[in-house]
Amino acid sequence: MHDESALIGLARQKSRKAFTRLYELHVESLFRFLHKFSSNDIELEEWVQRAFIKAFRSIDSFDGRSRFGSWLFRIAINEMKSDRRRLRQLEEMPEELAGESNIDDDFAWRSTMDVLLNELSEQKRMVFILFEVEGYSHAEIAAMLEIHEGTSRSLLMRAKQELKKKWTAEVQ
Amino acid sequence: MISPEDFYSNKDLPSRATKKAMWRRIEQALPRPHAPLLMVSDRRSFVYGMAAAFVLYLAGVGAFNLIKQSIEAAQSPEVRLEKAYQSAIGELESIVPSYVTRTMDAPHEQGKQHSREQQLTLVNEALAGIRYEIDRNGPSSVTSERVRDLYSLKLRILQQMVENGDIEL
Repeated sequence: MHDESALIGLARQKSRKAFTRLYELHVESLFRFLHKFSSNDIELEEWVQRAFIKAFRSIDSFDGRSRFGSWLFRIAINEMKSDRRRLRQLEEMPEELAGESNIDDDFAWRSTMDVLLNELSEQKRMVFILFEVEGYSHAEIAAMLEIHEGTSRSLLMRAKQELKKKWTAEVQ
Repeated sequence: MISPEDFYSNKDLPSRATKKAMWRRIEQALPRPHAPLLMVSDRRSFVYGMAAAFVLYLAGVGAFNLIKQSIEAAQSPEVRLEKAYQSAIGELESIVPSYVTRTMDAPHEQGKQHSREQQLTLVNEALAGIRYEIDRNGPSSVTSERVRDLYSLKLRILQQMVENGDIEL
């Protein structure tokens, strides 16, 4: 077991070991989350790297009231959004993801889920994954996405309704 | 809630090589450990070094004086006496470095001053001769007595010169 607050304390003193350990603890969850929003490996790695660099450089400003993971996700999401804004692709869907349905039958449902999720708006998709998969609370999601807690709830509800509707249509 | 293991597939995870490559790039951009700690340490070393140098200097001065005193204590009473006279004369000459150049009113005063200067020259020559003899043959009670008398005479002459204003203080 690790004590994350102790690691953060060491990271504030610029301990290289603490940085390494925090990276090891969070890199997979951040990478897999961001992977749902881009299939471009270079872009994806860029977001992950920038998120960690920004988090480590401004570790002194991390107040510890939220989880380090949620703070890191928030930075990564901001990086992604800023890139998207720059490229004017905020609401565009990566078409190649929608075409990636030729995988094993065992994972057919997952593939379908990916397709359905990709049909949602990016914000709904983020709220859905952060709440339903990553287990963050609406308060944490609201902080990450810089929206109201009520908006997070409402986006999740609408995402679920849309998914349910699409899923039903898919099954029929 | 959906379990992350069910939701994500292996293709969503970074490979070991990707993780390493990302970490290398992150590490290069990370801040280095605090430099001020080194500076504090350097400053402390500098202060300790200065203090040590000062203590060594004092110890050196103390050792030098101790050796000097030991050498002086080992000298014979005659040599010490001569050195004491030499030192007294040297002190007096350092206080009155120049002879008077002002004009004398009476011709006989000029004659007296000239006579005292000649006496002083003769005493100095006699002292140099005795010192040479002591250096060659070592001190004896006779030479010591003579040295004492000559220094005493020299001091008296110098005293007279000071009192008569022949030497400017």
